[in-house]
Amino acid sequence: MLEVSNLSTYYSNIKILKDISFTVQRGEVLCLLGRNGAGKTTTLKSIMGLVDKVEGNINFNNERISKISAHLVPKKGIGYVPQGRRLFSELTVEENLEIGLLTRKNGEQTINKVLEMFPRLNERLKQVSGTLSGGEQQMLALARALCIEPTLLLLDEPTEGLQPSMISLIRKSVLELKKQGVAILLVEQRVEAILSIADKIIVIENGAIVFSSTAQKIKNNPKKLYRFIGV
Amino acid sequence: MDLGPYLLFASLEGLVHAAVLSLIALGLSLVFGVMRIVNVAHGEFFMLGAILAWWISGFVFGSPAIGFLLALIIAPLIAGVIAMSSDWLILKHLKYDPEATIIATIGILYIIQQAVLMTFGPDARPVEQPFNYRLDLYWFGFSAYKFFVVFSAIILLFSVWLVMAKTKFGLILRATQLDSETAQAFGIPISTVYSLVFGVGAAIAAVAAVLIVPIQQAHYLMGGEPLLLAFIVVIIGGLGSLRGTVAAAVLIGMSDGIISVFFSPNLAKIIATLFVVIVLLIKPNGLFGSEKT
Repeated sequence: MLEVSNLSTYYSNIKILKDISFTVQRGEVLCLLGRNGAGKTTTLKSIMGLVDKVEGNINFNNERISKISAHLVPKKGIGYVPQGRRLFSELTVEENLEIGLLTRKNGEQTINKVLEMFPRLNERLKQVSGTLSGGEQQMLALARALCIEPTLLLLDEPTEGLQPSMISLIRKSVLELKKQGVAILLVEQRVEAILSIADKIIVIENGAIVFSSTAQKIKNNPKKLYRFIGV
Repeated sequence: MDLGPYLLFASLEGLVHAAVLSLIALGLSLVFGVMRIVNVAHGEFFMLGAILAWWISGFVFGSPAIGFLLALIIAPLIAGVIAMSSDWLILKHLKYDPEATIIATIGILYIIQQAVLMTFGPDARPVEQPFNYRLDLYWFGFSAYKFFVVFSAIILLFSVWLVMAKTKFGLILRATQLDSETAQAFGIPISTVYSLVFGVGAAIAAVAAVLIVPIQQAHYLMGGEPLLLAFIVVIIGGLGSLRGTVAAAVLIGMSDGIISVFFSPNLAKIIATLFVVIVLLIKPNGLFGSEKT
């Protein structure tokens, strides 16, 4: 489904990502771990075409997407939940969802499905999104990305700053999407948040992959992982 | 004339001024709001609209209203296409860098100004009013065409608000204005949006010029003063705020009109500039500007 091979990303002339390679298959959750500034967000932005210059290949469903314009990437079926939610804060909940629907023709059907998943948003459709609570904002960010009806979902620290009940809801949603066959690329800093949902784990340090393993192996021997992320 | 009727006359003149100014400032504010660039060439698109209105109406014989109507359609279209071309040829390649685009739009300003000078010459060009009718307001007569200018500006402002608030295109513009990177991640082609906005901003300025040119003449240097006043309006209203732009245009336009009638146009400009300083000191984001702008 998603194949990233020898990906290098530059901001101006500075190489941020260094020859990164990984794959994510249908219904699989790949987790990117690493410290702040390691290059996790840049990896997601590179896939979405939101960086100045990339080298290497990003293929999605056997189509090269690393050279297409950023606005065409979601049309391929890739949904994105950016770090810090990045909602259109002065737009209402409904308008944010409408933006998510721009690439879809059967909007009403999609929006109903998404609102079924997050009924609390249904009660707040006319509310300005910037006035929602942190957890509701995260729900909206996820719902907006799901309006694309993605087959690949990129999640950048979706549990950051949330209370435990909300983390549990986000976790449940991710598991449900995984069950539906959506491939998920998840960026997290909290190991305990990902071990129960991830299939594979990659650790990035200074823009390069320094460790990769299956979640099962990590569960059996977590010390190996903790050595890289300094827990 | 007594003070009351004289004040009414000055207020009506100010209202016409405010109507045209709000349109010019609206174009400038739209471009800044969505693209985050300061278009120094905006006044030249206004001038281009006025010159084109004179040029187009010169081709039409018979009723001046036909020439005016044609100018009202064609001049903004040409100004818009020139603006979109400038965007594709220059601004896009600068990646809309705020500093670089200021220099680039200064360049566009001179290119348009000198091209008009070389093509149409330095003379001021009069354009006939589409209709000549004076309304008798008891104390004095007032041109019905000036009321038409105010009415047209209100219709256009309302239309822009309607598009921005109620249509999918408006939603796309507002999303791009709020976060262009995230907008791209949801399928919005921001370079096309930027190009359209730059074109529409210039076209609105050109509409304002076509409306005002039967009252004041068209001249290749006429873009400077409206640009200065539009900047004043946009800064006072809050960069990128449609509501603020209209409120500030009415404030500055009315005070400019009244002070110009009672005292002198220069004093009006001095007071408007001082008002900007005061607003910037008290509310740095303008009267209606949000924290982000």
